[in-house]
Amino acid sequence: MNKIFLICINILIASISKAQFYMGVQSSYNIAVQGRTLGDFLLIDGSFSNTTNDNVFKDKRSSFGGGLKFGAIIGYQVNQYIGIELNSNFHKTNQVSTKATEGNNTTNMSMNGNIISLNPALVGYFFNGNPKIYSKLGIVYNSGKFIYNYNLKTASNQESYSYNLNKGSALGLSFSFGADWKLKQRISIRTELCYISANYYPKKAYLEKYEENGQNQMPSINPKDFEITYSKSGNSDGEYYGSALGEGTLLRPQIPMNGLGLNVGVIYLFRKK
Amino acid sequence: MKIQSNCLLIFLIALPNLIYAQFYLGASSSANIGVNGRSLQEFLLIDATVNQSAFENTLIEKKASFGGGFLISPLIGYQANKHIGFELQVGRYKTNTVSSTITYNNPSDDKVSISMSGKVFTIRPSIIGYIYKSKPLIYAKLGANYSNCEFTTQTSRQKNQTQTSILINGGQSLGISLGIGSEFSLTNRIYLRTELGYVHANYFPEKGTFTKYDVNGVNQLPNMSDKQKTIHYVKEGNVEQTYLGAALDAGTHLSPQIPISSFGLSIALIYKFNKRKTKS
Repeated sequence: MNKIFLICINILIASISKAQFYMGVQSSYNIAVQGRTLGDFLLIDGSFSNTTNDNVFKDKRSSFGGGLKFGAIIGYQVNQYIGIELNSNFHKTNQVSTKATEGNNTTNMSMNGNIISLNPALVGYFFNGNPKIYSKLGIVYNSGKFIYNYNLKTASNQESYSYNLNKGSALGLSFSFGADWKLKQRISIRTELCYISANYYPKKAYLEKYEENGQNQMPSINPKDFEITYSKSGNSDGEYYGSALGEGTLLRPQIPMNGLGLNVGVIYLFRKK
Repeated sequence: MKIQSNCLLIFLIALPNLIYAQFYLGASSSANIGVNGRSLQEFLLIDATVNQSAFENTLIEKKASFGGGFLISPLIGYQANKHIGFELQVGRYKTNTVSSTITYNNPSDDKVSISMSGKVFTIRPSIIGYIYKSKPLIYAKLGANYSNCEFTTQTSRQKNQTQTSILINGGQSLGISLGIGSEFSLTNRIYLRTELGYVHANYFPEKGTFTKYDVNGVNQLPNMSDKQKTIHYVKEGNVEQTYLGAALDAGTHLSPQIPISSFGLSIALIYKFNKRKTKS
């Protein structure tokens, strides 16, 4: 028993001879990928004719995985083969904008989000020289809010409102491939390609702004009348399946947050064990 | 002369790497579950009770993805050196089935059962990075996933014993595939591979065609025009739908998105050919 214990200790010591803590900061630029037409949020380019029933729509695949991210990294390289890492980021997403026309009336709609994300990952090292080449497989947890803006202009009137969609979360997967370039003994520059697959499911939406011809209409509205509850199951007040913007209770919509990004970071390596 | 010397230099750099170069081929089978689904309300794939006079609709979220199923596929690969390799996998699978029921009551009782399933042909080229080069060999894979799909939706309505079947095809899907796995040697040339794989992909069909439309057991297809039997899914155009997101009425609709993302465990047998050797 003691011999086995000693062998285990020896293997462990041998394997953690390359163990190393590190931390750093990173920023990334991302493009949104793998979106879909969010007809439930009316995020669609179109022109309508009520008299001839001619509705011309354009496919607009929306995903909110694009935009800028800033964050911190903390990690631990266990041995020459594997490590573990935690990334936390603030993500200001890309904006999706659409326009619908009906005669002289024009409606502009847009949506974007502010997201905090946590990304624990397992790191596998392919090459331990300079640069150190690795790949990461991890889980992404996103929490935050989306803002939806609607603006209708007619010949005599202008109406605009904003919804704040929040209290939801997204759980997804991340996969990265990157290289750490050693500048000094303790400082490395990181370049990394990262793919994230995630979908955000909001729980609530509140009307934050409602104006007609520049006049605030919020004081005259009962807040309950303009609150949306998104549920997994229940008595839904949707006029049709798939609407996500009518007040009341609706089935929760899925907001794609898939993105492909390039990260650049600076890493400080602590003393090896 | 300069080109020749550059070629010689590249060849000399590549030579030590090619010591590890090795072709291999094999057969893989994987069991997958559908992940990253969503409520496909445009295909009526939603459990619901609809009270038409009281405007009370009870809906239950049903996340549908068609990545589930059993995939058998041959694979061919090339380990370029001890760090990287390339692989191509081709396969076909029958997807999982997603079923739902919509119950209507008040003023009249009715029940509609809907189910949807598909057949997917898939091609996955990947780049492989080897993490641990000893026994077992541990690797990670990153690749593209191209799929050609064919789906069938079947609806059965209690009232008038109405049954329809729509074949949805055309179009394609381009996604991403990730994997992490290990290889155990059984003999000098035969290896057993176990791999966890994730595919993120969505299918955008181009066409739907009614292949069955029975009312009270009587075939209605001969009475229908080609226009009534066909659904065109377009990226842009004059759309005849009553609301955004409808996908099952005849006419022209915006192309719907059908999730085919999957997570699966695969087991494969690999045969490795002779390693290339350099003269010492």
